[in-house]
Amino acid sequence: MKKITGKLCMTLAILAVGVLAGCASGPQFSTVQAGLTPLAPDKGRVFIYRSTGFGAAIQPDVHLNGTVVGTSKGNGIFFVDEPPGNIEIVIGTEVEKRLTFTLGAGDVRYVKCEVNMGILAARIVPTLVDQDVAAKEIGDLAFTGGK
Amino acid sequence: MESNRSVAGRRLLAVAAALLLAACAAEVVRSEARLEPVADAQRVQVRLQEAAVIASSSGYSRTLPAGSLWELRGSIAQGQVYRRVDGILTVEGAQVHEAFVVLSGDRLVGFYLPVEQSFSPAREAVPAHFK
Repeated sequence: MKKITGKLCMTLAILAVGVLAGCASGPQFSTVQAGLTPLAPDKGRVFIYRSTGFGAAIQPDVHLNGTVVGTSKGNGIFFVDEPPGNIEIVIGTEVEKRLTFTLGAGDVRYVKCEVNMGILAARIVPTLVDQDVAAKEIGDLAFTGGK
Repeated sequence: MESNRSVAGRRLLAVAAALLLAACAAEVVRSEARLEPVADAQRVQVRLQEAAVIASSSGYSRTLPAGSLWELRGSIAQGQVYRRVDGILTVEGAQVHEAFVVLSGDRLVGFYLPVEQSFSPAREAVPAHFK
């Protein structure tokens, strides 16, 4: 019995280390939020975040209008400032998931990367969320940078 | 009498089928639509009087909350186009798209997708009262 419990603890510990190792690292977003680069009047800001560590081993590139702007990491957040216009976010994992939305000058948009279980692996689905929803989820995340 | 193995096998198949279906969500049906925008001064704002549940062609539904605020952005052949002011609206199929609602008379008939500049019909038109 002791042996089984020991093995279970060891397995859980390895899993926990695996999850943590895959999560984003950086200062807590709530501690740096006030000091972020101010948004230029002719641009909009897109925050991209993942609010859980689930599927942390899956860290796909995030493409914005065809350019890689960052990596989707568990419990991480970053932002991109863009000129107004149409925005297409593409995240490729087991399948490619795409999100399209408009961005105006002065707009701040929040893209949440949801982790869903696919057939072979977790997949990351970008969704546009309200500021109110994002505000409740991003404070504790690791800030990985802004462009 | 069915063996446990056969029951387990069926369950496994059902789970695999569900995952396969989830993986193959249909793209929302859409057709090109030309938005005739209204001038800034004519962008009237209205509130939805009662919650409305509207489903896209892919089957995903969205609840538009009572009291939510909407702004007239223009019209397309299928009706008047309103953008939500106090929140986000998206439609989802294989991909996710920001969407505005399209109102014809007192019924929501579908969605206008601003990036794709297209109309996506609702699975079924639903009554909606704005004020």
